[in-house]
Amino acid sequence: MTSDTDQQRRGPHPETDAAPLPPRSGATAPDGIRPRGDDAPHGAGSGGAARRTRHGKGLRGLRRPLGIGIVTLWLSVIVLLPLAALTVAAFDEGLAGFWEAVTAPAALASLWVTVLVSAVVALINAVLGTLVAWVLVRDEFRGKRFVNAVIDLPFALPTIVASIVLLSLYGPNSPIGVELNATRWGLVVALLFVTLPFVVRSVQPVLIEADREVEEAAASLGATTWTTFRRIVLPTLAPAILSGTGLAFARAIGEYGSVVLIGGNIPRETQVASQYIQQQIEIDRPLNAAAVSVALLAIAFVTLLLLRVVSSRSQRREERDA
Amino acid sequence: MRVSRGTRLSLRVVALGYLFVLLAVPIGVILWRTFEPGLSEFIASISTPAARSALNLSLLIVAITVPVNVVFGVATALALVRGRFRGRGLLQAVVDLPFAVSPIVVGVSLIMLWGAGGWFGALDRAGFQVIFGIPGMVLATIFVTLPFVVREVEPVLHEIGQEQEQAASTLGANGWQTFWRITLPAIRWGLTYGVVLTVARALGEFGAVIMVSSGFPGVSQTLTLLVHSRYIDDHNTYGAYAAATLLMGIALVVLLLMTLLDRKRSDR
Repeated sequence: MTSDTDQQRRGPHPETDAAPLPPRSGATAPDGIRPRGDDAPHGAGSGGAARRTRHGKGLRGLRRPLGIGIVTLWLSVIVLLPLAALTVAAFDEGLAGFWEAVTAPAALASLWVTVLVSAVVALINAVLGTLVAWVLVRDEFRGKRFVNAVIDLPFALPTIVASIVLLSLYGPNSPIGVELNATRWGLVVALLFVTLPFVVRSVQPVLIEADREVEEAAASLGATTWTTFRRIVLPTLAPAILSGTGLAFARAIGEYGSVVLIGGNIPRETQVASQYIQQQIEIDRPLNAAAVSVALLAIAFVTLLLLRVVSSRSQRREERDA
Repeated sequence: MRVSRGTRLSLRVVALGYLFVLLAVPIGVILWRTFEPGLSEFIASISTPAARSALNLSLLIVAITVPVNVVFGVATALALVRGRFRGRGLLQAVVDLPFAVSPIVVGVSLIMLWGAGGWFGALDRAGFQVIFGIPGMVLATIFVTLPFVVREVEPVLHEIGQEQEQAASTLGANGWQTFWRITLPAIRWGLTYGVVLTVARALGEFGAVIMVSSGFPGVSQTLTLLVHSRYIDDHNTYGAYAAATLLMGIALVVLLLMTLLDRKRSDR
């Protein structure tokens, strides 16, 4: 492939996929990028063959089959092959074996606890996360910038530290007399801690951008605060709330470090799927561990897929309205 | 939306109260419990041989993970932004996969691939132990930190475009020169931010690492594993608090760096 054809094949940038990133990192999403057509100056266009071969190395190399091959190989060895090995191991004894492992009472119970607790956590996040975002954007008080910075703490804090931190307050010998360890509420508190930033950080930018004149117009037409919130503010925020909630849910179902100490690991009571998987590896039942892992992965994927479908639909509606 | 003073105040109280109970109080309590017996006690607890070797192992894993992620992360970002090839969308999705996979599932997957009974089990039987060894812990850490550098560098590459690179090559620069003098300086803040996120996650990773570590104190325990084993196995609650406080200190430095870099990036 010559560098000239290389240049011609460089069309406008296709959209990058919406990444299930923590909202903060996703905030730098490449909006408003100028499509770069073929009229860009041809760097090596007038160069001789010698220069062209030199371009084969380094930067250019990454557009060539070799560079792409290396990147693909890298991603395969690190990410894809382990997941493929996991899936194969889950179906080692066929579909029936997989089904039997997933529907074993203890496995099913752990999956149920995981989904139930994560759903509660997601709902609380949706309400209180939005509220926190609203206060951080629309309210003014001393120390607001500090509070704003603290929101990211759960992302920076190792999950096991989160576990220990919560245990020191809500665990045995709790200084305030609230003992939540080995209860489902303990799980909820731990997961609320680690998922706090998701909704706040996805709602905040939308609230900053929101058109306040519409809200004032509604108020001047006699709408009550509640009506304005329900009819004007909430519909604007809904996609952001939904995406933050979905990411929080996806994070919560796979969480391990923050629940391992406070959860208590009581089968059918507080044992979550990740703890069940870990236990099955310890007692040397790799098939059970792999099968429940695949089930957990499937739940996460379906959540993220639904999220993407909903967000692209609401985006289309917005474009149509505009 | 005009909100009455009363409503605004009560919303503020609810929001701050929630953050206070969820974040501030637990962190305050653990700090108090760590430093209550005195600073010397804290220092003694985090400088035992097991704690030192845990810190060393954590730093070793970071020292391997960061360069690997920088090289392959930048290469992947370049291929994704500048390359036009089939299956690129698929590659994009693969880069995001680690965000959707539970740390425990990462550990199980690595065992199924590299463990004695796994696909690459021959390696293990030949004496090169990946699982229950440092290579396994490094692989687990690379898996969970893989998206950071790629996802932070990618938007910057989109933004800077290719005009300068093309100008450089018109002036006779070869690929490496163009990369070192044009591309790398342009992406440096995005790359640094990605590295900070990688370091934070590599130091803090627990679930994926505990699955593939043999967990012997002084040999294969990272700082996070030390916190866990002190609490669970040794019933050394104070030691666990002290080690957690150390990790928390590192996390605070990271948070500070993140805030500063974020400002720097938006200034660009």
